[in-house]
Amino acid sequence: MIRLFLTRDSAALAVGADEVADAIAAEARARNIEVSIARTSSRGMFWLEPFVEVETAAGRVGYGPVAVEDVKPLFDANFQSGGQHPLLQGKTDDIPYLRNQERLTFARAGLTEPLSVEQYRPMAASRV
Amino acid sequence: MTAKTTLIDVTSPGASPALAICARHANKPDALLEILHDLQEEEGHVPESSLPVIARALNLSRAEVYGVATFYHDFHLKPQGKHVIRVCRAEACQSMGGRELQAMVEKFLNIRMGGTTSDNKVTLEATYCLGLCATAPAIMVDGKPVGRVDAAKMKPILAEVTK
Repeated sequence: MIRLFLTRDSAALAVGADEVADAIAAEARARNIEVSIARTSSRGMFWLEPFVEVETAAGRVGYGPVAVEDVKPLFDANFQSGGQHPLLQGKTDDIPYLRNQERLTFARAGLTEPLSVEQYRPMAASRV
Repeated sequence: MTAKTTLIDVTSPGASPALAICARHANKPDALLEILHDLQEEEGHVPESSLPVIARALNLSRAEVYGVATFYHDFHLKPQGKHVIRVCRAEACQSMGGRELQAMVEKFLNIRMGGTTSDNKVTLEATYCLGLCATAPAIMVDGKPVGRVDAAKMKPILAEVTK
């Protein structure tokens, strides 16, 4: 199961995050690839929205800004396992905008689904 | 102790949607905002004729109800067009071409901000602000946010709402 993350923040919705999520789900079905798409809060990197993250062994890598017409080429580039593509931004945590920040109240922003207590609990515990 | 005499309003709740909505909120004056929201949801706007009805039901003055209904620009006393386009006019959007976007939409629909097309299809409104500064210029089409709007993105939207 490939785990994908897309923002559900209104700024991301305004630039087509829902349409991109639908296109990814449809393309994955067509290619018989099993994916789960979590709709998270935003990392705050709005110039990269719609920002699509993929869970890999090395951590989450991101692609953005992704338009609906980019979805097929992304699958062709094997983005679901972190493949090379012009939209690849590398490991999300290593993007300078994030790496150079010390996040306190926003530490979990962009990581989890905002209403998921299950996802919140382990992260809250790790910070105590 | 003698029981207090209660004056019962015998108007049937069906006589006005506003009355039924007030009754649903137990005629509580502190539910005025929710009542106005519900009425706008049901009727598409808050008819001016409903304001005295609400005032009476909630035991408020007409001035109080009128004041609340006109303070919030989201409440409309007159019917709007079938589609509502809101163009953000705040600073970030203006700096990213919001004025040009507004001029383009006004010219295409042949109405000014605040106006409704003669066929009642589209109402154009200014808004300050949608909070989408990072993806400016932004608009809202029938409640859906749309960011990074340029002519190419605006054309199919205008075609759709004027269809």
